[in-house]
Amino acid sequence: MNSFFNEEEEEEFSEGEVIPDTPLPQDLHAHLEERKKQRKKIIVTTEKITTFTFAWSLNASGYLVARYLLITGGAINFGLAVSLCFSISSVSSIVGLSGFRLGYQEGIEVENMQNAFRALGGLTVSIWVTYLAVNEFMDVRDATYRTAQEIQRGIDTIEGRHPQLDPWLTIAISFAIIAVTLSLVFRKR
Amino acid sequence: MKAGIIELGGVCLFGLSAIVGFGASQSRQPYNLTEIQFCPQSVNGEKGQAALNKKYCNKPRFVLADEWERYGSYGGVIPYKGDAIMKVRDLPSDNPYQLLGNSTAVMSLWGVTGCLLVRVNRLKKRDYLFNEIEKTENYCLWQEQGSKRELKTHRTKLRTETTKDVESQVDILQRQELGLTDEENEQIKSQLGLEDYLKARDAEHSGLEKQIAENRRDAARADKEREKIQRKTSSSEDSNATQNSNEACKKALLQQLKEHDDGWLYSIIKSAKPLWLIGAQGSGKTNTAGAIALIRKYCFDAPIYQLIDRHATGENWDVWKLLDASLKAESEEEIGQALEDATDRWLQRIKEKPKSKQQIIIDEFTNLKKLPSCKEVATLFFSMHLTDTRKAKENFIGVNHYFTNESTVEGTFEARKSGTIQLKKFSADGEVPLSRVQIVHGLVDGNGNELIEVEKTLPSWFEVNKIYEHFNGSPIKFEQ
Repeated sequence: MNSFFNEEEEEEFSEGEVIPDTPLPQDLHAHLEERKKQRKKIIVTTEKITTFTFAWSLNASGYLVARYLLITGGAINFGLAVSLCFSISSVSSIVGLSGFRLGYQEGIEVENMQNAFRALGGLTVSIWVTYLAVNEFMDVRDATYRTAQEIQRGIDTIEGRHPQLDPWLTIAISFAIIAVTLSLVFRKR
Repeated sequence: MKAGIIELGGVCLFGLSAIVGFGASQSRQPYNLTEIQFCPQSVNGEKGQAALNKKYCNKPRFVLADEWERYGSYGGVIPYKGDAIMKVRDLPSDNPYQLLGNSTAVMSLWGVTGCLLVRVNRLKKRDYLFNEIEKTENYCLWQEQGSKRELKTHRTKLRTETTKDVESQVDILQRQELGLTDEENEQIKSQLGLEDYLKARDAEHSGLEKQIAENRRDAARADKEREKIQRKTSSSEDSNATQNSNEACKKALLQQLKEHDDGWLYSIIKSAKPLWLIGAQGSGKTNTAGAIALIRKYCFDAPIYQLIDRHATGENWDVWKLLDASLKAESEEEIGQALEDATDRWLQRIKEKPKSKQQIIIDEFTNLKKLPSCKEVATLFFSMHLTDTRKAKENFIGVNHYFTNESTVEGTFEARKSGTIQLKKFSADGEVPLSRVQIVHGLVDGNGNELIEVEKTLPSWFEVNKIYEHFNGSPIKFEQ
């Protein structure tokens, strides 16, 4: 969002013809100037709050979309939930990047570097929001995986399958074959 | 104001709703779970089965409900073991309204943003209006308070004056009691004070009168300018026709003047030198002066600015009324002021280098000089008119019975001779003016020789009434 009292607008006004106003006493003029500054300050502050709530509305929307997808679809929607949540949350950060310019002409030239930092901060917040949205689901999903693994291990134990011992067993059998072979070759006749 | 309250109310309401929504969306178990049991079958009899049950079956296991739904399907993470793995119970989420609460919160947040956006736009749009309202209200307040301050100051001043008077009076009484002063002395003092006050008042009044005269002069100038502009901008056929008609009248009259008696009259009218008309009573000086002034007015754009005559609205009114002079001085006081103003004005006009001409006419100068209050200023006026009127582009016409040192100003003979045109008029029996005139001095012929006491004649139509009519609808029928 552009600031209300930007320099370009002021320049445009200054180019036009200026008609003198009602002459005011000095103290009244100073008072009005002060009031004008206050009003400007209020507008700028409200604008900042609006930008803030706009960004957080987007973050909350991303969070809602992710939660909806995970609750209704579960693990199938996990990737979609993450990507959508991050995309929606990062819209305000990307919009805030406008004005940032990086170029090379007799050296690197950067304009509005603060916008880049702000956008970076916004993206960090988006990552955090995405993490919050999927964190609980990831915990439950991990618990489900662990349960499945436990069951699998149980089945393996019951069925006598010890895949973890397979390499060592192969090595031991190999060594045993070698040992038997050698003993047969060098057996005293 | 109402809009502001609605906006802020909306923000508060939506904000509250957002908080409630987020609160309502909180859950200890947001996802549906399923409790399952892994109970493998033993082939070693009851003893073996009991051992398996103890190890595997009695242990509670929880998985995501949707993962359990995919049990035995492609992509399921729970290993398929037939009936050995079975569902014990469903554990639905403890908050079935979490999505609703979350949606409410999100919508409310957007509501807050919307309200704030509306507010920002409204503040931006109405910022100028707010500024103007404050300006007007505060300006009125300033004026009101200023008036109160003035009133209070005035009251204090009056109170101070009263206190001063009372204390002065007490002081006088005390002095009188002590014998330091007496009644007579105090009366003299108060008389002197009164005189000072009256003089100061007179001075103030004369300043105001001067201001009034200057304002009138400016108004006359403005009228003249307006007339000029109106004349220039008028594009209607009627005005063109009138203008053409005036131009024709002007041309015809000037032609006649040029042709009459070697054009001496044309030379006099065109000359910037002060013109003095002298002659006995009844010789028609005033009429001739009026005729010359009118021709200068209509043909050379020189309006009559000032007329100084003790009988301006009396016996000479028939002539002067046709001139439509901007300022008239008739009373002794007015004449004194007019003479003083004229000298100041000439100096001012010389500085300003004006492009337009104007005229001043003075009648019976000898008599004016004799007025006690005008004596000094009349002497100065006469000396100045010899040089300043020409430079100030102010055509001067003076009317007098004679033109001697006594009647004008002593020591100005040479200046009068070289700096003015003197025209003498005659009457037949002291009542009927003659057409005969004498150029006493001040005019030169085509060869540069000065005409001294040369006899000339006035044309028969050279009368103020006829010339006025000539330019106002009844042109003179000149003899061919």
